[in-house]
Amino acid sequence: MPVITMSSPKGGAGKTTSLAVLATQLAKTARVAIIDADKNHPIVTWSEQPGFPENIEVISDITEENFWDRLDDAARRVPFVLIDPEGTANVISSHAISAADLVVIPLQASQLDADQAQRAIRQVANQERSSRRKIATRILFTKTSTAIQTRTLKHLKAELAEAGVACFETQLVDREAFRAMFSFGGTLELLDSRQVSSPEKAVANARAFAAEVLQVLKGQERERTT
Amino acid sequence: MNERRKTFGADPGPADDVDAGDFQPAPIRRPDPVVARRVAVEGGYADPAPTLAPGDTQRRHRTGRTAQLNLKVTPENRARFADMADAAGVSMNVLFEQALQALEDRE
Repeated sequence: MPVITMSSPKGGAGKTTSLAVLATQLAKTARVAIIDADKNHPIVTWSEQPGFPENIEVISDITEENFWDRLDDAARRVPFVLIDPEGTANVISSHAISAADLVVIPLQASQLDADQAQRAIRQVANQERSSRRKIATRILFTKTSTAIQTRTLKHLKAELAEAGVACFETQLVDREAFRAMFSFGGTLELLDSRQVSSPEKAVANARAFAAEVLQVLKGQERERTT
Repeated sequence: MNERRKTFGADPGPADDVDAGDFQPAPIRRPDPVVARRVAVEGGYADPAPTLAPGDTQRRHRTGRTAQLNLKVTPENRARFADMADAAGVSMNVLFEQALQALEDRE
């Protein structure tokens, strides 16, 4: 049932990577559909390489006109639908926010990225007002360093907390393995340490992220049923 | 990641649970498409204004008349033909087609 949208009107924030990481973790125990609404079709390219999980279906022929039909069709067949919109503020990106049970806003700790993330947060609020429902939203810090917390990151975290915007505890750390997934194809679990350093750390990172996503979604399910 | 255990608030569920098997497919809630589009545009999530497509500025009336027929005729017949077309309110190529049809019909 859950529709998860990766949202950032800026390219390069880590939307596609976070989505791929999440999709492969979910696909271990559930079927997943990915709506690749990016005109460059990065997910399609990844899915054509060997090792792509059979549990994941990729839908890429998305237009503004067929968006709702394609999404509904996927959601009726598959429990998880993940949407990867283009890194621009277009109509499909807005629809993807409005359709979501969870909006994940990937954010690199830079002021420029934060300004764009703010646009996504504002658009979530607009959609909430128009649909009169709450849309769960979480910031996911991406490409962070394992060693240090930059001042910008610290500042952004404090500012987000003050504004009442929730962040995932897990950060997607800047790891070669996350990039390698797209060059070798398949999942993080298929990478071995001769290809890329410490893939197991990337897997642990991915699991922690997926667990947090599931925590939010399972919380929603509980609220719905009680 | 090491962190302090949470004590208050709703039971967050185990933090290492990556089992997604409980979720079922379900139809989505469809918004009113007009409203969804309006919210997109008002929030600055509109596609850039489309550039002009071929045909937007130029009327393309396709007649299928692509071949030329160049005839040497007397100036009188040229004028007569043009006057007949003007009188019928049609262009000369239409008059030519009508003339052929009339000839065929007569036979």
